[in-house]
Amino acid sequence: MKSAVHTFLRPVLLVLFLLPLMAAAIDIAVTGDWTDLFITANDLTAGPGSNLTGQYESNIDQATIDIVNTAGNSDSWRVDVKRTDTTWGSTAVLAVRRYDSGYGEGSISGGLAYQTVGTTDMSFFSGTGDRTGIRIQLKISNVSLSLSPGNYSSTISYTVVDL
Amino acid sequence: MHCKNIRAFFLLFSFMAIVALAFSAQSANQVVTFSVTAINEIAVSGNPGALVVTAATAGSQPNEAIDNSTTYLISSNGTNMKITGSINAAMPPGVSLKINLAAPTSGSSAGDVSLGIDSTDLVSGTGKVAEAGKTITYKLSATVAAGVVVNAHTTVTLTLTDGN
Repeated sequence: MKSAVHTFLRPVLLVLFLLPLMAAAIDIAVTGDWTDLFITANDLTAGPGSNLTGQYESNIDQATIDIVNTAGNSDSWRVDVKRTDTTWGSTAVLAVRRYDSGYGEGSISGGLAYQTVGTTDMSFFSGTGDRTGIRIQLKISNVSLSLSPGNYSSTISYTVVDL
Repeated sequence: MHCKNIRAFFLLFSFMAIVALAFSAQSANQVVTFSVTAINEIAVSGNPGALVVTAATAGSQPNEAIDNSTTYLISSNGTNMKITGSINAAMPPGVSLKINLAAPTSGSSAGDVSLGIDSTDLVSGTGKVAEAGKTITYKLSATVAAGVVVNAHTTVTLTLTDGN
């Protein structure tokens, strides 16, 4: 009987001990899309005979990111970013930057300069502890008249990696 | 032996849970959408000078008056577009106004074309383009039957439109 208790109960207790740690997985939330960019003839740099402005920036608070549920201020994480195209202009370049540091007792670093968002994960910024209200600004560049009329869409994925 | 296997399973599960926890990742998405409307813009640099038919070679119709002082500017993200031209009123009898547009890089010019109140193709097959300084050449001719025409004005309209 004692052997059975040792055999079954001890591992179960170990798993139960680990469950609270598993529940502490870091969460990331993003609020805000960018869907109101309409490029028209008004965007020609100098009217007929000229090309498009070519570069468009979103509001500085087009999106906000919250990093929560960390294990504490010393819990390190990294946010990766990538895009998945629905329909995207082959020449258009999508870039993202962290406009500010948000709020929280943890730290945050990197990502303040625009970086191109590719189709594979790349490091965006990193930090420790909970950070909320991190403002994200987006930029679409290299848009010219070579881009046919139409709608272009992509989904940006922000992934928090617990380090 | 059976019990040991079960215990090993639990321990392995626990280890995997720890490893999974150490490299856990959560994702959140954001949609980015932008729209490009059809852009088809054309403009001219200004009005040409007065075209005056004044001279003739004996035995021939009067010489054409020519002006190539103006240009047009074009921006388009369309394909297979064309430029048509027309005038707002018919020219007096015996008088003809021709126009010749230099073609953009993508497109071909129809050469000298007589303008009428109905639109006529001047350039065809233009693609995505942003060019300025494309020369417009006007040629005014009059037969002797036209007689003397004083201070006639006409408005030339250039239109960038779908060539399909």
